[in-house]
Amino acid sequence: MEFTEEQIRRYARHIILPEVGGEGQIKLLSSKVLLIGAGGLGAPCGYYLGAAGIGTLGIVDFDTVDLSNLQRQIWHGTRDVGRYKVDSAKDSIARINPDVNVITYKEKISSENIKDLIRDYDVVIDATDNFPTRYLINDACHFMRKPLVYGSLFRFDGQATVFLPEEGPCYRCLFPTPPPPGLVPSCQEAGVLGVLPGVIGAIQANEAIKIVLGIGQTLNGRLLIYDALDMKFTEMKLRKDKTCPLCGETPSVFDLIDYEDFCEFRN
Amino acid sequence: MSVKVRIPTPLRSLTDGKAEVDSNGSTIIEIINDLENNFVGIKERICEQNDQIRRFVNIYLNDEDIRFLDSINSKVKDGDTISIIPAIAGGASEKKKFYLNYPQEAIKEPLIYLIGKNYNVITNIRSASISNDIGIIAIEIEGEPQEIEKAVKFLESKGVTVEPIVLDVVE
Amino acid sequence: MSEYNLNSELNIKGEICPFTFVKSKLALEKMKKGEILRVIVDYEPAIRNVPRSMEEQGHKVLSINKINDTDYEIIVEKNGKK
Repeated sequence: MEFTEEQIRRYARHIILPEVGGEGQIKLLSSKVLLIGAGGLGAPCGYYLGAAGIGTLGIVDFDTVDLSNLQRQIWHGTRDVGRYKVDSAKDSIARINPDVNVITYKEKISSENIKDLIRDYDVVIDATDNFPTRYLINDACHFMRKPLVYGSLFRFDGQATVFLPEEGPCYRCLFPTPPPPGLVPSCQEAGVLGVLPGVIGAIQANEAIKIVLGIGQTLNGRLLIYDALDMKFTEMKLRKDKTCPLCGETPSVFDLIDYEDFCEFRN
Repeated sequence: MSVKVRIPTPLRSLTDGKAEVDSNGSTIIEIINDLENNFVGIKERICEQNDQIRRFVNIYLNDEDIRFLDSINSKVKDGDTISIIPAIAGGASEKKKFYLNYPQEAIKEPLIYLIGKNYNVITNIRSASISNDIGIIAIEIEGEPQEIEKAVKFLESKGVTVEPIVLDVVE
Repeated sequence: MSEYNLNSELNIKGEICPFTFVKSKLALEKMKKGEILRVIVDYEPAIRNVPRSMEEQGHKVLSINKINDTDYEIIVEKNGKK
């Protein structure tokens, strides 16, 4: 493909980089990335992916913008309150970069639709906010052999890593089971520092771009821990678990399951 | 052996807000027991009753997951750093699952039926415990945030205490 | 003017840095190793910046000449740096 004059200017800082160049920029423009979740992590991640010129950006989110989202979900504005998040996100990306083909899915992701959603994409980004969806995305990416960029947060703590199919490990190797909600005696509204998803979401965009370009060392096999209060990044080894029911030596999970049941209200 | 233990923010309410505390012991379980002596209540957040680490919490000895070492019997040495890393799930939007605490006078009213009828929400009861004088219901309310908010306000106006269920907490 | 066997020529008069290098680099990406590109610029700082960046990225700058009152040529061999 030939760059237009506008594209040469837009992507100049990528093209200059020896690791990217014109060839790398063409890879980005030809790539398809699926962002699941258009909220706190999805906003900075999607913004950077759009600015970088990811050719096709799918965004999945069935929720609408609420005023309480705006403290951290930076691609929605006050005027967007009440709109679907994916519509607001699409407008934001269109303002930054018309090269990006944004495909929106106003759907709740589930065992029924996830395989069709991720089938055509090169990389999947988990920017969701709950355990059932995280296990669902993990399992689906394993079965469909898609690289998965994981990010998560709570209050001041952030986590990020990359799960590569075949190579492993997967999310179940990291956390075999989610915390049962019964162990939640003090029920308070989940709080999160607004900047925290900005840091983790940007790291997710960084990893997705590296996967597309095939450059550098991804977080595969490493769990990055970010403590925003202490301002500390630490890195833990993330090993493939031989007993993992999904990707271990004697797997017991062969297809998608009911993840709400798996995660919630178990006794 | 004296080691440093990194405390994740959800557990810092138990360590006077400290991100890092000193602890003594020659194995991971000794370290955890020593932590419990100094910060009562922390052990049950990390361990099952049989001392095994809860499966949604990982303990790292320096940068190695103890599940791949000798688990709770992994030996520690002076100057090691232990990190407690819980599973967290936050990222996008608000939760829409609640615990409803009914006062006695509200138990006989069909409140859940009414929110489904009067607001554009779908309700799903996931567990319930109702006795003569109190009712506790865990419920999913699905719908647009504004509609959920209206439903919650209505329940509160009837004397029901509505508490969001925070799934992604180890506390 | 030039004693080299040129494989390609790029006239980017009117262009300033960093786009002088960006366009030169894109031209080089389309060429084969060992082929020679002549870049014509009229932005004087480019005759220092562009060759330096090309060398950093493994290309060999063969010569830089002022060719008239306003223009300069940069002759570069793709991946020619040892």
